[in-house]
Amino acid sequence: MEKYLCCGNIMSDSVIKNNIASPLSMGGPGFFALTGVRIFEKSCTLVTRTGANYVDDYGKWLDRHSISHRGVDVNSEKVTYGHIVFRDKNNYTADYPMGVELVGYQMTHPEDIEKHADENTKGIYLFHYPDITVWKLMGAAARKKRFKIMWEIMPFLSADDLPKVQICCKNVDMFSINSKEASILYSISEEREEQIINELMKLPVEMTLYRVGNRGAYVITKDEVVYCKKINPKRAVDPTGCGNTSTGAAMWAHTEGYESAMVLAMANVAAGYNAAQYGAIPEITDDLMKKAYALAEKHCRRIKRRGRYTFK
Amino acid sequence: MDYLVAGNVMVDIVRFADGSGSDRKNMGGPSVFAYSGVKLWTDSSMLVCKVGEDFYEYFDEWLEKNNVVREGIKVVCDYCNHSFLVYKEDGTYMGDPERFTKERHRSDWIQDFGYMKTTPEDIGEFSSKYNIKGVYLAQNNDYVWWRKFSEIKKRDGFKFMWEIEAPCCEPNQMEANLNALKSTDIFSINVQEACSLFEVDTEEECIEKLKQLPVDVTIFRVGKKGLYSIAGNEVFFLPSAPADRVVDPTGCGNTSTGSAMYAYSEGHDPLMIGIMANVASAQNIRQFGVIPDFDAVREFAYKQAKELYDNYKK
Repeated sequence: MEKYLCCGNIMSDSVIKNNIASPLSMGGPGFFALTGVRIFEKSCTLVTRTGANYVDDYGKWLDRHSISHRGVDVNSEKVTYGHIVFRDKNNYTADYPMGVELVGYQMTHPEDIEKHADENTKGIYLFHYPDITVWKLMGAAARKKRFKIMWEIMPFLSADDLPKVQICCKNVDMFSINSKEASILYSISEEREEQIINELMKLPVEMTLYRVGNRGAYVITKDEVVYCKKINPKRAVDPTGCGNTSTGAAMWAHTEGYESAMVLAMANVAAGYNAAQYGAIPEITDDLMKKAYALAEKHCRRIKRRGRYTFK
Repeated sequence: MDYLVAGNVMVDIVRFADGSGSDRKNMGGPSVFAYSGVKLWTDSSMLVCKVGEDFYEYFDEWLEKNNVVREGIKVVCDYCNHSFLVYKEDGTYMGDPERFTKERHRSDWIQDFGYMKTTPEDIGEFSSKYNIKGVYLAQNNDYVWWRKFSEIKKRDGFKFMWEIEAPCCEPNQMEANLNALKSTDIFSINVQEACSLFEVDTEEECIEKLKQLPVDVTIFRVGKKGLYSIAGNEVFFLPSAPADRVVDPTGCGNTSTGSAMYAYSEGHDPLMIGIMANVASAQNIRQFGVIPDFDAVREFAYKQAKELYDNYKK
């Protein structure tokens, strides 16, 4: 099996802005994260439960990028899709015309990941609830198969979820959250960023990717915090999936042992390429991979020149 | 092991139209109710379900007391689905929007009904291990699900009871339903669902449509009035079996359907299938939640079924 597994739903999106709907485009957390890894690493694949019609677009994308379909379990007729309505740059609502139950039926279970991970697997990405049972099962699988886990937390949190998040984090190595989610979780206003970062530093993980929307992201470890503004290699069109894409890239970079500044730069470069069109990055050529890496190196140097925040 | 009863588990709080209701959470969900409809007659039956970690908080005493086989119960997340049911005057019910918002667990999101939903492989794991006679499931009509299921059914050779899910009862779902019925031996539907599916208004019209379905038997449930057992052109109307008390109808449809699956798989005729379904339902309605002690009522249930059968035969 490949070194990196991106796990979770694939889901096509139509973005509605000013009452105009974009055509359906490929997305979903598992797929966006896959593009974020694939832009830097060829040994990666998708682990997902999905609809038979995935072959029409997602399947072709996998074929074009020489990615195996082994991790795809067709368990229903259709890939789910959602209408995403942006209220402003950072706030959106989503509805799923095929029903949310089907979204649940297509969610990845820890046993799916354990089934597909082998001795080659170094890291996995999963988008899931703060569910203690799920993360205990994931932690057990990771210890058995010796891979690292990046957990991107699902939205719709409340402050009551904080104790569970802290427990779940004991079973993962990397964590990803955005500013709105963190604000709700810690009951701290989004503007009081330092305070939120101080709290995130206390989580029992090696690294947290803290995404602050249009302003970029932070990489937070126990003893350092690095920040990088958003990076737009091309004109930004649609932010849908930027969080998943950057989280996938950060998972890969951290697991490969890159320093925090480079992890962050790679995350932001991947998000920038994702924002350049509706849906996921359509074509990742060798040339694009080289450009993305070079761009990340350039921004890494800038981040390091600017210095890092130290919170003690 | 002879019978598998699969599907979602729920924890219910019930409130009736007059404001009365249960004062605590009760065991429920289609699979648990249907299981009770089988377990009433035989211990050789097994639940196959995905549940939350809190399942044992609500179910452990009942599992222990009734020696319920636990092999098919898999804990996959923190919480079972907790539902707050509000009955209307006409006997139909809906979720209480206020309590859903304030008191739901994360897994009350409809999404987690999907996360815990039974897959064909979940059934296949146990139908391949045991020589199973019959399986029950409340399920939708997704073509992929049924393709995978039909392969398992062919491989393992059991009888199947399909209780149709309400969203499949729109007229435009008929083609997919007919596909699902190819792998169904006995079918269960209620009057609201049948009227919607066939775009008709009366029980008689529903029965005419149901007689044409390609299954051996259909259990057509008509609420507190009882049910029809339909086998080709043979149609038996069976009023609800008498119960010494009427407390809560929640799950009567699932319970009677599970019971009908058992009766059919044991080779009973359509009349007895309907009677055993009604007898199980009469046991379910006597309390909130599922039948609490099967040993305590099994003998009575067999006796009641025999008496009703003898009476109808006359």
